[in-house]
Amino acid sequence: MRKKVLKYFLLILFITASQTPAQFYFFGRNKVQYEKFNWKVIKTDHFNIYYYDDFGEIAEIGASYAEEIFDELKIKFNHVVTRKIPLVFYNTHIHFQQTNITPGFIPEGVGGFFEFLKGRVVIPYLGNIEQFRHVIRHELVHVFMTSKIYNVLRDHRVQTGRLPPLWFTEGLAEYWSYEWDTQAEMIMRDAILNDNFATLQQMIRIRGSYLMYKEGQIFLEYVSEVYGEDKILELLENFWRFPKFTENLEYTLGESIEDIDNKWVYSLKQRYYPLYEDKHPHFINTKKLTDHGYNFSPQYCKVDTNEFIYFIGNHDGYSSVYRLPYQADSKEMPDPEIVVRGEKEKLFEAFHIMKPSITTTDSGYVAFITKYGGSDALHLFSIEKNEVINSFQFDQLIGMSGPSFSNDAAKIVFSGNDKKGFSDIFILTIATGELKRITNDYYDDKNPIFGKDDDEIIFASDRTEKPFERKYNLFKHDLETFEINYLTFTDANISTPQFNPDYSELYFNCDYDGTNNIWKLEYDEENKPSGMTQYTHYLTSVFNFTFTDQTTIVTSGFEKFSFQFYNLDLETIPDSVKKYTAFDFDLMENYWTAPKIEIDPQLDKVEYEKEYTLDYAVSQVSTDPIYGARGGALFLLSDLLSDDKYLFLLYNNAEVQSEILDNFNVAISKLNTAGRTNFAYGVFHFSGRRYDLRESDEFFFERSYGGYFSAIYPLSIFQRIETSISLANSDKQFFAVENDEQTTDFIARKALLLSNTVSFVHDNSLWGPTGPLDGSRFRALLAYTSDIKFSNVNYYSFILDYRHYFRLSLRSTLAARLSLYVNDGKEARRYFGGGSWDIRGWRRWSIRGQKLWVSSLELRFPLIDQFYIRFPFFGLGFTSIRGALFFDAGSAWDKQYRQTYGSIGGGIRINFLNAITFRYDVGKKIENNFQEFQPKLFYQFFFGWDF
Amino acid sequence: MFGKTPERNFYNDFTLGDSLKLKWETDTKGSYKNTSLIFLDEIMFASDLAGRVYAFNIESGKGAGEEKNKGAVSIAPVLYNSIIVYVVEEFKEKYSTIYFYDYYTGDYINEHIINGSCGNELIKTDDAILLISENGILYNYNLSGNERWKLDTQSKVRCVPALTGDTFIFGSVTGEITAVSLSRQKVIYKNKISDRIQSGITIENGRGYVGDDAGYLYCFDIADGEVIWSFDTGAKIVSIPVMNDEDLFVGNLSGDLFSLDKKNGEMNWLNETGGIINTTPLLFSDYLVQPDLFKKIHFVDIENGEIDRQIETDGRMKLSPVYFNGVIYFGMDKGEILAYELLGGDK
Repeated sequence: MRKKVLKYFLLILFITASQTPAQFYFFGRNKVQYEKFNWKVIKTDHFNIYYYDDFGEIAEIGASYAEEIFDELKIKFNHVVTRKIPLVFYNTHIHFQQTNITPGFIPEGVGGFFEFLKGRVVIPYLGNIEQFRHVIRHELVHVFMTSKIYNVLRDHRVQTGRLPPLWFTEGLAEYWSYEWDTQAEMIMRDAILNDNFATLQQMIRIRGSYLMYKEGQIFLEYVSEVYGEDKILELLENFWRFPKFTENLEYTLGESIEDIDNKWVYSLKQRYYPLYEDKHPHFINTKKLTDHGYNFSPQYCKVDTNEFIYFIGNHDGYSSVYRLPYQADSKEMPDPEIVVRGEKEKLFEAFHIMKPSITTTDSGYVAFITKYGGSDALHLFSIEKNEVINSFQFDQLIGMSGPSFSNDAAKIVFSGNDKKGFSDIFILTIATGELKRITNDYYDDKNPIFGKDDDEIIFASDRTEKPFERKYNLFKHDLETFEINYLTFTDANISTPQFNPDYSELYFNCDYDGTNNIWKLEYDEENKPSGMTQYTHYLTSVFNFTFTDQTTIVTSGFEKFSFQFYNLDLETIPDSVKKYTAFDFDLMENYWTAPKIEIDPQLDKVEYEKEYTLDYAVSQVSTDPIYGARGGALFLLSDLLSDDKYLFLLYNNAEVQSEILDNFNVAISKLNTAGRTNFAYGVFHFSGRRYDLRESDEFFFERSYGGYFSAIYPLSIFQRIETSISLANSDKQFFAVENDEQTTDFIARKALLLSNTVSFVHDNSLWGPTGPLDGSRFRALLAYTSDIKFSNVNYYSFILDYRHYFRLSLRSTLAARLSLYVNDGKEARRYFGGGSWDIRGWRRWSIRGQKLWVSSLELRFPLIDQFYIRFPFFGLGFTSIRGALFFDAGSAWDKQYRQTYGSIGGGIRINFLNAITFRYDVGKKIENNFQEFQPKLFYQFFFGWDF
Repeated sequence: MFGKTPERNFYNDFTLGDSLKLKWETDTKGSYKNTSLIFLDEIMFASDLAGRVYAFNIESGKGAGEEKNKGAVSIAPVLYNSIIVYVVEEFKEKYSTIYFYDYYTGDYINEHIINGSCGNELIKTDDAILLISENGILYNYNLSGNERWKLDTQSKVRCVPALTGDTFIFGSVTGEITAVSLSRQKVIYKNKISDRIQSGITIENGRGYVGDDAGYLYCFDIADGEVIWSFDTGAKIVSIPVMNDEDLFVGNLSGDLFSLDKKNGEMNWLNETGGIINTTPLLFSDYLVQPDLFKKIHFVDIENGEIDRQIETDGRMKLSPVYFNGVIYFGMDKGEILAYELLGGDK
């Protein structure tokens, strides 16, 4: 899936305003800055910590961890980062997604990143202090490793800019930042036992995936155990010696890569195969209810006699609310249906699919949480009316998760993230919209549910006292006395508590045996919690579960790298496999507190001031048949948060010395993306010889200087309004051919051009490997350009471009396009068509006119999933080779409509490294004003994404 | 050679004084590992990780010549007569090469291939050049550069060895102290005292001193490798301890500097510099001169451990400083060498 971000459109378009045909515009989703953050800085010995607003307390905790970790890593790496490291903290993932430090979209699963250009570390706080520490540590390992590698290469005078393979980089960051945990264990068990595993020589197959992270981590654990911990640092210190990392591995570990691989895989099999003795896959003793897609948070609901499982899932690229008919006794596996389509409109902009975010009540309502604008929203859906009847957002809350109805369905309890970053329990009274806060501290409180009489809340929290500090246990909060008491006390993580229907028993997820399984709370004679009994013994985790009757549950289980539902009757579990573990509450010591950095608030806590540094600088000399030869430089400066950017462009395309002064081109622009409205302004001077495609046979000299202002206002992630105004003095000199006289005359044209444009853009498309597969894209533009001094130019522009993608299956679509481009008036420019990007078969840009229309219909489908050729010394592979059958039609004219052009045919597209798509089409042109096919076939090779 | 003598001695028995003046700066093309510079007459010899060996005039700091190789020269050369012996870890190869080069004639008189890396400092005796590779092979070359014998010690070695009399001693990555008799060409003993040793050994009066990866500093008996005392510094030690008549000084990667009583290992003082100590310091009778990877040089009062003064530098300090003819020489990353002249003291 690809998503495009329109980040530098403003800069790119207006820096080269007079040289870039306005025809080449963009769609793309919007990265919306809903908040304008009031940034502050904490200065420590080795870091500058950037945070904002009320996030100070957590930022100080993060600063303390950062310094502690710095001291550990300098020993591990035998190296020190001497510059001050910028750490940028966001209080939630929603705010983190708004950062300008990376121009791209940040998916839900990204927990932080290290940006190489300016060495910035950017981390969201997700409500959990231990996890925050892990991510800080992970990213700082990247910082140290990158610095170490750079210094090793530079010290040896070997070309820098090289890094170890991604699996090693991420594996090292995980290995040196965190112990092996439940999630890691689950992933590796699944990979080894279900043959999803990639050896070292196959790592490219899982590049970028979470499995790659964990395989890298477990490989380094293996290296430490078998070869010695010192070998890991040695791999970094030997990095200069061999261009290939496998050679470095062989040299440092003293064995061939095949031997290392074989022995490692064998050790993993030795570790995991014995688990089959007393653990089993999810499909044992259960009925599988789903077999495709990603399925989370099952919630049973019975309305009248109909039984359903409502859940959050993703079956087609868009996360949505689904409903599955619950038929426990039937052998059929019905398909789930979409109840609320997500990720196509702003109300349901995104689902937090990995978190519990849906609940149901037998009185006929479903409550679910989505991202809506700058924060999460809790939606109430009526099953009877089949629509959302209410949506709740709260000023003080940014994120929400884990909703659960009260027994009387009048209230919903959930976990909320506030502006301090705290993750606490809240209760919403549905009728009044009143919000009540239950907890208020930096302990992570989650998965709350109401007790039997709605007078207590049971929730999971990491407030557990020592010696099990930071583990998640279950707590009970009395809504009348406000007391919080332990329900469990164990050295494991517990989550998702669920009562059975009559509230006689409480079940939950617990990772006591290494992965999440279902346990039951046990009580003593005095009805006090005494221990827990393990019911399930799955190899890989149960994520959530729901009761359908007193003893039957539907689980969401992880297996073969997918999340599917299983129906399990707890009564079928024999007593012999149930394991009891007692709690010992006497072990309790005292609550843990998170350390905070000791600083002088006067000196070390300051307001953020912008300091600009170079992002990149590039200089080059180039030549092309349209613009001639040119040499120049481009500089981009930005502040640390990349909210403000300055672009300097300078080049000269003189061909002889005497032309140098006349051919100077310079542009200076400022782009601000800090707030919701992104704007840019600047000045420019462009001068030189041009051949303009938009004219015919016109080669001219133009000197153009002026200024511009443009702004983009995103209405949502899917829609935006763009506007611009520019004023440019244009002096044009060209030779015009007098056809009847067969003579040429030198003409000078002066103009003071005022251009205004306004556009509306919509894009909720879902991308496949080579182009959009689902959704729609639309742009409407209105512009007016006028010579306000000499009246030599005066035309309006109108563009309408609509594209719709009718999904036929998971990987197939019927794509339709209808576009109309109009320039009308004095010296109106021409549009151009023809070529692989619009009317195929016709010569590229050969169809020109002041008016242009294009229409296409294209069937896109998968052709070859994987294609690999193995040569003696190397291999070459391509994946996701796609096919297309198309029909194009269109035309262009100035005053008089001449003819209609068309083509039909088929082609293949190959995505190369996600950077470019190669296209090859074969077909027939429809010629002679759409009356006959060309006699032969046309063959056209080019590059570019599908429309 | 590195540490002046085969026992590795970094002590200068006179006072440094209070005043230093920068005499000159020069640079090489590559950077350094934690090795040192070598001096003979008026010439300073340096080796860098870009594979070059340089000669500099010590008065002016101007280059007097260089030899280029494809790889890295990570340990200090040794000199005798007009011969310079150095080891190149070859680029894109799994072996190293030891060269014997006559810098008067400009000829190579001998060279040998050595399997694996050679990051352990050379030792020169009256009639031999000794090298132990990281694969644990001990090589004995005569002064003509011919290999006399080699011995597989069955160890992996990333430790600066030391020599006392006929006994060649080193630590291994498996934490063993190994002693080899040169005359008998055999291992006398292997005594495991630690989990991993990657620093260097210094020897005095029948006792050896070495730090390990866990941060322990050991004093052991040369005769049998048995530990006499140990001290926990708390963090990994990669440099060699230095000592005077009574006390011993060592730093660790956490930036902590310790002074211990040589006899029993009791701590005299601790200074938590906050930096990172991975280079062997230079000891005077009044000051410990300790380079810090965090771009500093500490001048530490050996009586109380306080940092009397500091020089802040542009680069990470890499080389173990060397005193020669009234000048202290330091080396940083990016290949820079600084020469500071002593204006005070009783040199």
